[in-house]
Amino acid sequence: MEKPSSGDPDLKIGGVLSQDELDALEAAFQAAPGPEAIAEPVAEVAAPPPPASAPETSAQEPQDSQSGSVSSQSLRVNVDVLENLMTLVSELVLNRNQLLQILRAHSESEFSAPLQRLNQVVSDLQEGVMKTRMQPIGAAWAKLPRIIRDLSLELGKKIDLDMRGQDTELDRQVLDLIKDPLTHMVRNSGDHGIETPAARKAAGKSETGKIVLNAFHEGGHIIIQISDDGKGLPLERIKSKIIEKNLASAEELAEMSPNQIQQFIFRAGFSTAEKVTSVSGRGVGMDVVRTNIEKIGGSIELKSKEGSGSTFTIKIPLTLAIVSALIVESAKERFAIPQLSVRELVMATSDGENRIEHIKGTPVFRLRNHLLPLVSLSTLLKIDTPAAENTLPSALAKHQYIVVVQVGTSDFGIIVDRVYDTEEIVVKPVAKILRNIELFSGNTILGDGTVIMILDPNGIARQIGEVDTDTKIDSAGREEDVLSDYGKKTSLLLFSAGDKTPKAVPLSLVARLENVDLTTIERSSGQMMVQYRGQLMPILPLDPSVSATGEGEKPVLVFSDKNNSLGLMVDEIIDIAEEHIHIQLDSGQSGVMGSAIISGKATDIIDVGYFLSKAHKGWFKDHGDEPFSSEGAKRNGAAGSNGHAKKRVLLVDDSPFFRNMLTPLLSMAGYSVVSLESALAAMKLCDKGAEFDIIISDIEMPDMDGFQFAQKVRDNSLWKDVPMVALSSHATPQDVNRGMEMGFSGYVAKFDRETLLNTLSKTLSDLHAKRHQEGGAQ
Amino acid sequence: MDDLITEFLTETNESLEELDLDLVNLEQNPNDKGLLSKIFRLMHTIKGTCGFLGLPRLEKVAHHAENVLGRFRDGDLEVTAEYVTLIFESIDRIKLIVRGLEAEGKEPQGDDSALILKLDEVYEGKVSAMPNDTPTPPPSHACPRGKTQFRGPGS
Repeated sequence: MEKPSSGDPDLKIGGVLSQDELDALEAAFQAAPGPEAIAEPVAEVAAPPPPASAPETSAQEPQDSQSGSVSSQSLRVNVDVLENLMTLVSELVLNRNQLLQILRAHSESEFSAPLQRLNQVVSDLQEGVMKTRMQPIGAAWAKLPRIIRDLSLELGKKIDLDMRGQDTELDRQVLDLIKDPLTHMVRNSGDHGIETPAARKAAGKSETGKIVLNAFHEGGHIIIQISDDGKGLPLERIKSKIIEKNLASAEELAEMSPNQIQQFIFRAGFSTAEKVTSVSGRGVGMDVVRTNIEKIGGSIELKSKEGSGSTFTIKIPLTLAIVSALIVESAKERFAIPQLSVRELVMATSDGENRIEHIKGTPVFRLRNHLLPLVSLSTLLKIDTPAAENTLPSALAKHQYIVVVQVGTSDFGIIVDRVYDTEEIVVKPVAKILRNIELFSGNTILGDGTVIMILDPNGIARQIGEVDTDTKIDSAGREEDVLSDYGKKTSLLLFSAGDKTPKAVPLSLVARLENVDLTTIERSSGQMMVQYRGQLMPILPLDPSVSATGEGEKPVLVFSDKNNSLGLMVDEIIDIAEEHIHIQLDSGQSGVMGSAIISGKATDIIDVGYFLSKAHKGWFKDHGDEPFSSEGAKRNGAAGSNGHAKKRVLLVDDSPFFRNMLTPLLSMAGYSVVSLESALAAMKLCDKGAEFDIIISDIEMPDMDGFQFAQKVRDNSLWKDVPMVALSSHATPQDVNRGMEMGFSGYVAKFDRETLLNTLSKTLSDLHAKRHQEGGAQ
Repeated sequence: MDDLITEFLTETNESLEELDLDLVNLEQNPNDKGLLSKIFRLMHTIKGTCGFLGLPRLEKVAHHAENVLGRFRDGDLEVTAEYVTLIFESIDRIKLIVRGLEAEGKEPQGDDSALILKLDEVYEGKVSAMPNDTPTPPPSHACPRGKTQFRGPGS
C-alpha cells in the first residue's frame, strides 16, 4: 500500500490531484476501518492532508492491539542491515578522525567550524547506530526463570530468582556471547550453590534460596553480578580435587588464601559436583565460562564464603565494535591496548625508588609492596631496534612507562616507550594470516591513517606464562606460587657483602630492595638509621666490612613485619635463584645459618632472625633483652638423624613473616613442613586425616589462639598424641605453665630458633624413646 | 529457505521465549487471567501459523497443548506444577521441532504420540465430572520430575 503522505501534502492543498494519487488515497481509506466504511466521498471532495494522515495512524492501531505486547514503536530490521550500517559508521568515524588530525596541523582553518560540527554529528550518529545494536540484557535472561523452575522441581529445592537491571542494554553481539556462560553460571548457582530446604533450615537460613542477578553500567562497561546465598564454594573439596588433579600440592595449598584456592574452579576440567546431575557437573565447567568471557574482552571475578554464598562479577565491554583504547609506542611502533584491561599507568625512573629491577634478565617492578612481573613490549614482539638489543632496557631511557594490565585476578606490567592518548578505536578483525598470533586481538586505523595492532592482554598473559615457566619470577600471579613453594624449592635472593662468598636469603622474607644514599644515613647511639616512609629504619651492614660511609648508594634489603622494618646493607645484589636448599655445612659464624650450593656456588644462607633481633630489641617483643646466642647448641635435630624418614612438622602461625622465616629454617633442619595461617585451618587438616609428628603453634592468633588450639587437639582423637610446641613472643613463667597445662610439651620464645630446634629434636627423641619403651614392655 | 518460513522461525522463537517466561509467572500467579489469555494466544498463533505453512507435526503438538491451555483459561482446570510441567514439555517439543526445521528446512521426523496422549488425558479430564487424585503411570520420557502425578480422570 502506497502511503499518500509520502509526497508533500502541503503542495496539494487546493490543487488538482492525479488519478494515481487519488487511487492511493482511496486504497488507504479503504484499508482503514472507520465509522464510515466508504471512503470515496471524502476523497472526492478534497482529499486534504489531514484525513490522509489520519487513516494511516488509525490503520495501525488494530494491528497493534493484535500483536499485544509488541510495542508500536518497534520495527523488525534484518541484522545484516544494521551490521552494514555499523561498518559504514565505523568508516565515517575513521574519516572523521583523519580530518580532525589534519585540522590539528592547521590552526586557523576555515574548515575548523564545519569540521567541528561534522565531528559532533558523527559522534551522535555513531551513538545512534550503536543504539540500534543494543538489546536489553533481559533478552539473555529470558531462559533463566524456566531453568530455575525446572531445577528447583528436579532437585527439590526452593529457589527464588531475582533479576535486577534487566533493561541494561548491551551490544547484541556481546549479548549473544554471554548468554551461554550466564545460563551456565545461574544453573551452577542453583545446582551447587543453593542447598536443599532441609540443609538451609539446619544452617539457620530461610528455606528458600535466593539467586540475584544484577546488571548495571559502570564506566563504559557492563557489570553483571550473579550471587546466591547458598553454601559457597566448598574449600576442602576444592582442595582435595586440586590434589587429585595434581594441580598443586598440599603444602602449596596450605600457603594459599581461600580466595586463591577458589580460583582453581576456573581451571580446565575442574568440577566439584559430587554427582553428575542432568544440569551440571559434566566437566564443562567454569573454565569454559571464563574463556568465553575473556574472548569478548571481559573478566570474571569470584568471591565466596563457605556457608554464606558466592558472588561472581562479570565485567564486559558495552560493545566490541568501537572500544576505547590506550595508544602506546614501543620501538617506534604504535599499539592499542583496550582500556578495559588497563588498570593503571606507572612511570619508572632509571634510578630511585621507582625503578625497574632486573632479576636474571626478567624485569620486575615493586608496586606498593607487590612484585609486579614486567614484560617489555619490544622484547615480546621481537621488534627491538638493533641498538637496543645489546643494552638492557633500563639503560635505554631515563623514564619508562609501565602499563599495568589486569588479566583475570592477576596483574602484570607492559613496558612501553611512550604513552599517547586514549582513543575511541574501531576494531577491525585481524587478517587471517595473523590470526594465530594470540598477542593481537585486532587492528585499527588511527586518525592519521596509520594501521596499528590492538594488543590482547589475555594473549600476552598466556604468552609470558609459557615463556617464563623456566625463569624465576614468572608471569602474573605466580608470585604467590613462588612464596608457597617452600619445602620444595625456595626462591633465594643472592647478593654479595664483604668477602667473595655469595650470600643468600629467602626472597619471600624481603619486603623491598632499596638503594640508600649513604649521605642520608643518620646515626643515633651507634645505630645507623635512615628515614624511610616516614619512619626511622635501622640499617645494619650485613658484614662489618660493608662500608656505610662515604658517597654514593648501596643496595639495602628491607625486611618488615607489621610496624618494624630493618635494612640490611649489602654490597651488590647478584641474582635470584630457585633452589632446593640443602644446608651442607653448618656455620659457626653468627648470622649465617649454613652453606649450601646455589647456582653451582657455595653460598652462605643468611640467618635473618639474627639481624632482626640485633637491630630491634622489640621485634620479638619480650625476649629482646636476652642476648641472642647461636654459639654452642649445635643443631642436632632431624638434620642429624640421617637415614630416618623426614619428620613431619605442622607450623601454625598467623604472621606470614614468621611462617616464611621458620619454614625454611625447619626445612633446612631436615623437617618436612606444612605451615598454616590459623588454628582453624589446622583443625580442618586434622579432620581430613593429615598426620604429623610434631606441631608447632603460635599462641597469639585471631579466632582460635594457641591454648584453645592445644585443647582442641588434645580432645581430638587423631592428633591427641602428637607433641605440641608453643611458640610465643610472651614467654613468662605463667604463660609457660598455662601452655603446659593445655598440653604443650614445649614452650619456646619466638625468636629463639636454636631452642626451638633443640626442643623439637628432644621432644621427638623423647617420644621415640617412650614409644620404644612401651613397645618393649608389651 | 522460504522467506515465510524464516519469518515464522524468528517469530516463533520469540514467542517460545516469551512462553517460557510467562508460564513460570503463571505458575506463581495461577489466577492471572490476562497472563493466561496471553499464553493461550501465543500458543494459538503458533498453531495457526503452522497450519498455514503446512507444518503438521508442530501444529499437532501446539494444538493439543492449546487445548489444555484452553481449560486453564476457562477456569475448569487448576494451574498446578504438574500441568505446567506438561505444557513446558510441549514447548520443549515445539522448540525441538523448530530447531530441526531451522537446520533442515523441513520438519524432522519423530513421534509425539506419547506427549499428545498425556495432553489429551489432561484435556479430556474436562469430560469427567470431578478430577480425582489417581496416579497415572509415570511418563516414559523427558519429564524432568520423573514421577509426575496427574489428576486425570480414572486412569
